Amino acid sequence: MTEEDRIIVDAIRAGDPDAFRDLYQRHFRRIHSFSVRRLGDAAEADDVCQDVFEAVFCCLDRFEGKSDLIVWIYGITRNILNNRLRRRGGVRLVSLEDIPQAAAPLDLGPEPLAQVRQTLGRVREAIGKLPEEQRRVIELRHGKRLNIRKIAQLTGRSEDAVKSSLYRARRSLAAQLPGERLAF
Amino acid sequence: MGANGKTQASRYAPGAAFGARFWDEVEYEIEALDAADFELFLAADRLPFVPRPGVAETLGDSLAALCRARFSN
Repeated sequence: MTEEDRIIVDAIRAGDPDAFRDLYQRHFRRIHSFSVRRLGDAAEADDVCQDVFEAVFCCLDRFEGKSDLIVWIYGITRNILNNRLRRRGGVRLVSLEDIPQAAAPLDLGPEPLAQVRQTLGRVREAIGKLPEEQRRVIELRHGKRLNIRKIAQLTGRSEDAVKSSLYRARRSLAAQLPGERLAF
Repeated sequence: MGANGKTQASRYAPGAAFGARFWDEVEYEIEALDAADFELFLAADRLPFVPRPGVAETLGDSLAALCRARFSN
């Protein structure tokens, strides 16, 4: 966390409304434009901004300073956008979690859907070739969307060991799937 | 209170919409940081998408009211 972040966070936690307004003015335009670009809908971007700032304000105690404040705000924004896109039935290429296995999203025609399924098949095949320990970590991380700490707890390994397995697995997948844009 | 009313009430309870799963997903997004997408986020305030007139002010006032309510208790 930068010194500037710490001052803002401390001021908001101390109940200084001007500090929160400063934070809002500093990031509103960024979050709004990022959301418009992603959603293509200015009114929905307004709602995203409200959700993001409510999350920041209501849950600032969750910000532990492990990352910069802007990264934390980015994570919140991206998650809120992802949730909205999921509700729309959209698909983010190429996330293991979001590619439909049975039902097709309404806005995909047969050709792009076939491409998605081909990509999914190649990714699954590549994952199947990984050593068991790497495959398990990839599935927990990108299938179940668990964080490193939880994967470490579940597998009885250290967080560093989990990170190392993830790194090796991703490197192996990237080598097996040249040209695919993998959303790691 | 009907189903809609209940939804509305919980929607506006501070923090109610942001449960453990929400924060797990935020942590996921941060840990899996997509560098290119983050760069786009940092530069997004220079994109030519101008918010509709009054939106920033209205939302700012709404959030200021949230601040006042929280810290007046």
